[in-house]
Amino acid sequence: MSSLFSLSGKVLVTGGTRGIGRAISLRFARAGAAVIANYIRNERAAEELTRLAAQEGLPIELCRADLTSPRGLEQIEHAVKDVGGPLSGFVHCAATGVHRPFAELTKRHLEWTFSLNVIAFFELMKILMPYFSETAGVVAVSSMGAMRALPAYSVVGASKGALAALARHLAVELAPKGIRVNILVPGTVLTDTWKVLPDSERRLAEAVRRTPIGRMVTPDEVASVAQFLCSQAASGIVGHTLCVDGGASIIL
Amino acid sequence: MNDLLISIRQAFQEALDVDPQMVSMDTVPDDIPGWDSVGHLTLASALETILGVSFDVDELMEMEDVRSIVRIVQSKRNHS
Repeated sequence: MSSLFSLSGKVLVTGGTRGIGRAISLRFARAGAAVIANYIRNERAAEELTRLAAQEGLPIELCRADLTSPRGLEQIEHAVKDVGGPLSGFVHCAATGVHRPFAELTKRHLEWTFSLNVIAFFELMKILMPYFSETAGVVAVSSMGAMRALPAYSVVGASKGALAALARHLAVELAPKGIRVNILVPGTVLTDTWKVLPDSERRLAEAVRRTPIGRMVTPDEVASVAQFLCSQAASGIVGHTLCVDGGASIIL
Repeated sequence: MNDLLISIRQAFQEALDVDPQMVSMDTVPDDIPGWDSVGHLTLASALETILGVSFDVDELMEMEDVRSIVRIVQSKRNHS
């Protein structure tokens, strides 16, 4: 039974096999979309997602592609063509970054980070434009670091700020074509990424302390909002930044 | 080759807090906790510092496993 929150057609989710992206892939498939879940590095996680999808009968296809390379972008385009149905959505969840204080950063760190977080989104939007259906939803997954200063986060924060600004401008240009672009800002979500971030235990504990709901937001809570933004229920929402952070960002 | 692998193991230890003995020529990202897209850049930074090389974006993405890291670093050393 369809509802305002149902999805249809096919949706590309970059970084769609782990963490928040995995939750988005599963939620979108359960909501009715055929999902193309992109990944690059972790085969085991991708295979696990495929197994789970098969168990539940969910239409999730994997696409292993390096989004920072021309070949990878071609692979994405082929995957989009291969999966039937109109392209009703695109969620850019793939992200990377060098987490170091400014004194230890180089221009190359900036280039590495921007290549996936910003330039890949730009390139994918260019590639996907001919395939979008008459009404489509695009979600750029940003970060609190785009709006606030976090330790050892200047390069990543800058890239997420650039991503959000680009998404906002595209929202205005593409809304007349039926493509709604919005920005999603997860709060502190416990994913594997935290394992390699500096001082993670202390920062996670502090984040929980500063979150009004008293816990971290879950990947599925973020995925629910991504689903909303791509659904008919959000047909009047364009260029908006939606925070899913348990209230953390409103604390002074 | 042996010295290079030792240095690469040191980078894995510093970047991803991994027991160096877990790292061999056959190691792939699935074998190492934390070797995801973020961990990959942390690892690349450590490799640059320890090995005294610089990686561009293309080389970064070609480093799919330890074997390719060795190949890329050796190629850079041969051309320097």
